[in-house]
Parts: sequence; C-alpha cells; structure tokens
Amino acid sequence: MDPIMDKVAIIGYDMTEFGDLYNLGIADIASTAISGALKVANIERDEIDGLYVGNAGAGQFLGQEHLGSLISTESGLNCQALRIEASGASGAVAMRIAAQGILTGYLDKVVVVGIEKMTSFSSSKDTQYALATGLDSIWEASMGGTLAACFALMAKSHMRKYGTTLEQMAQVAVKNHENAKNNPRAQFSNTLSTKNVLSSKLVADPIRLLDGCAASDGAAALVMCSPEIAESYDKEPIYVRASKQGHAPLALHQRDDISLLTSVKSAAENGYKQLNLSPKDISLSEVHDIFTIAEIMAIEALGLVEIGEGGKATEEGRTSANGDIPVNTSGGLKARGYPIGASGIAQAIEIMEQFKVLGGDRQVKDINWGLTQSLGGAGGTALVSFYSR
Amino acid sequence: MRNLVAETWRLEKSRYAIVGNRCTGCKIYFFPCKQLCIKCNSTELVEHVFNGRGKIVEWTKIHDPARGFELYTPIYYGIIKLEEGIKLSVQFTSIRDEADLEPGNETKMVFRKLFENGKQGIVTYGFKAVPVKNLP
Repeated sequence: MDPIMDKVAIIGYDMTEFGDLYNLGIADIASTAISGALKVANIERDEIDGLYVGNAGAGQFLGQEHLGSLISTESGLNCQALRIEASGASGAVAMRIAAQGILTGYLDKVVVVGIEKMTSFSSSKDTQYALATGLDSIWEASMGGTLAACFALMAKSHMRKYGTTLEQMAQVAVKNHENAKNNPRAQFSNTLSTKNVLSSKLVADPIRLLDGCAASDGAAALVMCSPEIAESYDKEPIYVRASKQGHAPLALHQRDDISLLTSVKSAAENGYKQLNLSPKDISLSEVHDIFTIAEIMAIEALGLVEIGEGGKATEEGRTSANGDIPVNTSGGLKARGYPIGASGIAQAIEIMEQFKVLGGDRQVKDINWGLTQSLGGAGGTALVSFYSR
Repeated sequence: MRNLVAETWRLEKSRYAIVGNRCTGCKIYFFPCKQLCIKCNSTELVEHVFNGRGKIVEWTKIHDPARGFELYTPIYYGIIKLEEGIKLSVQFTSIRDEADLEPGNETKMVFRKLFENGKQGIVTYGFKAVPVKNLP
C-alpha cells in the first residue's frame, strides 16, 4: 500500500437529531441515521457488505451488548456487522477499522454508524458511574474517580504549568455555542457567556457544569468505499487520507505528564508524517471538547498551537470560525451534542459539509485539509483522521 | 465499581495492605502485583509491601460523584507518588485545610471505607491518603 496515495471515499452521510430522544430505542436511532446516509449515497441496502457500529456503553446505559447483530438486523442491512468500543473514541475508531477493511480489499461498500443512547438514567450519579467505566474501574473509579475528576486534574496541572485561566477555558464553551447557532444539526444553540460558565455549579474543581457536555442520544452514519467504486456514486467525494490511533496509559496516575495528551500527539504526528503535512496545512478541525480543557489540550497536542498556548489562542479568538485555526465550527461535543459513540462520526460529517460548502454562516473558506480528533476515556485512546478532496 | 464479592476478595491484599511486587532483574515495582515482569517476561518477582508514604502530584474536589460515593461528597481526590516511584489515584481524607493538598506535600495511606453498594451490597474498604501533618 502507498501511504500517500491510499485513500477511502465517503459517499454518503447523515445524522439524527442529538438530544433526549425519549420515544426512540437505540436501534431506531441508528437505523434512522443509516437510512439517511444510504439515501444521500443513492445506494441500496443489499449493496452494503459490512457494518461497523461505534458505541461506547450500551451495556452500561441500556444493558444491551451485541450491537452489531442488533443494528444490522433492525436497519435492514442484514450484513456482517461488528461493534467497536473505545469509550469516547468508539465512532472514530469504527471509521478507521472500516477504512482498513476497504484498503485491504476485504470489503467494498461499508456503513459506519456511531450511536449512543444515554438519557435513560434518572440520576446523574448513574451517568457518572457509566462514564467512569471508561477509566480504570478498580484503581480510579472505585477510588472515587470520575471522568470529570480526571479532566479536573489535567486542568489544574495545565493551569499550574502554563498559567491557563478559568476564563480561557470558559471561552471554549462560549465560542462553541456561538458556532452551534449557525449549525442546524446542533443540540444547543443558546448563547453562553463566560459569566454563565463560571457561575454554573462545580462538578469537580475547577470544572463546572457548563465546561462539560450533556448526556445525549443520537446517531451519525457514513457510507464508505474505495475511490474506484465512489466514481459511480459521487463525482466529488471527500476522502479519508489517513486515520491514526494513539495510546496512553488508561489510568491518569500511570502517565508521566498529565498536562499533555500524548496519545493525541503521537497519532497526529504519525498522520502529518505519512501525508507529509504540517499543522499549518490544516484548514479546520473538529476536536473532542468533552470538557473545555480538553479542547485546549487537543489543539496543543495536534500542533495547531504551541504546547501551553491553547488557552491564549482561544482567548485571542484564533480558534473561532473566522479565526486562523477554526476549531469545532459545528459547535463541538459541547454544543452540537455528545452521544458518545456518535461523536466521532458527527465530527466527520461537519468536515464533509464544510468541504461541500454547505456550512452556511459557519462556512470556512479555502479548505484543503480537514482534521478530526477523538478521545477515549481520559485520553487512553486517541484517534486523529485527515480528510481532503 | 460493581458489587462483585469475588473481585473484592481477589483485591484484598492490594487494597488492604498496599501489597505489590518487584522484578528482581529490572528492579521495577508493580502495583497491584503482576504475574510476570512486563519488561523482561521474568517470573522472578518478589512481594513488596509499600509503606504508603508519598507526595501529592495533583488534587481536585469532586462535587458530583458516581453512585456509591454520595456519603463522602465533596470528595478530595487526586494522584500521589509513593516513595518507590509508583503513582496512585486516591481519595484524600482528614483534610482540615485545602492548603494541605498543595502538590509536593507529604501524605501517608490510612485504611478507610471506600464505598458502599446500596443497602444490600458489601462494603468495600481500602487505602486513602492523609496529609502527614494531620496524622496523630
């Protein structure tokens, strides 16, 4: 395989509304997104020969495992199917595995769906518990740790080391809500002020409620194939050019430096190297802003700004939709919404819409390269993908 | 954590007495115990009881805990580095002044109740960290 020339086409995409989809079951939600993506690609169900389902916690949230078979059946695909789990990176990793299947010639036309249904719990304590299973359940979660607490530790370390401020973190949420106003697919389009964020209730100091994402239901789907097959469906497909996975120790305490997302850094550097690119070549990025500090640390690890400069770059407006490094034009996990397994695919959809100049008032001009970045848990897994025309 | 009695018993030595082990070749400490050294594959590992003395790396105060930890809210939680170099995630207890949680401050492990699994479940015990200056 040629690492520069190999590419996989995305010929169809769609996502459901993100939010509290009370009346819909997990398979209904997934099936709606899949049906939409097939329609966009103008492809029949029986042409699809593989389904990958990115899902983080249906076993925790609903008591349902074996989602591959369930969703393949309920969406009418009835093809071979596999559920991929990598916590918050589940959707992104599912897309990477699908691309590998196509590149090796093992599969021709593949559907990837990211899906989560998180709103069935009646208490946030149960949600915290379910999210904490993406950490080391014995040596972090059973010691009292939560996902928010892990990011709180990272935030405090980042503040101590680089002088990052609470206002800079809050600005990430403010900016992403601004972007979401121009995205009809976004879950939240209300205006947030820095004051709103800084006066919301403390979850794990210094992280407040409005620094984080809401539990949400939703699905996002892609139809992927080789460039040769794509010619019959889309004359101007968007290509996944590289998709790289990085690793860091699962438990935060096993890492040397908690102020840097090393899993993201290694994945990004592998991608830049393969494609002979530098961070300056990236026109726009969708990053995993599960908490506001996570966006600041992501843009640093991706090399979009210097290490330690993420807060300052945000404060200066460089990461806004019309800044020099647009980040999360969709509204990000924060405002577009965060049904965990769906988020990696929803990020790819924002990149697709931007390439196809469907971004409306949030459209970024002159796009050459798009990038998406997902995190599993507190960064034990990272996935960075690169897209071009 | 799920209410798994067998898991709780399996972890008894690690949780109750901070028992780990050390590769006699590589001199690396492990916590909890490993069956073999993940550097050199050696099975020549000797048991090591950590004395529990260490220093604070970072801390936070959890206001919205997971199910099972409601009784202890707000929870002082963070990372400590033991004298042997191993780092652990812990709850801090016996905190009189948050200034005592400054990174670099010395802590010692004490034996405490970790969490409960509802009214019917077993109670899980283990170690928590106390600032050394607050020890009797």
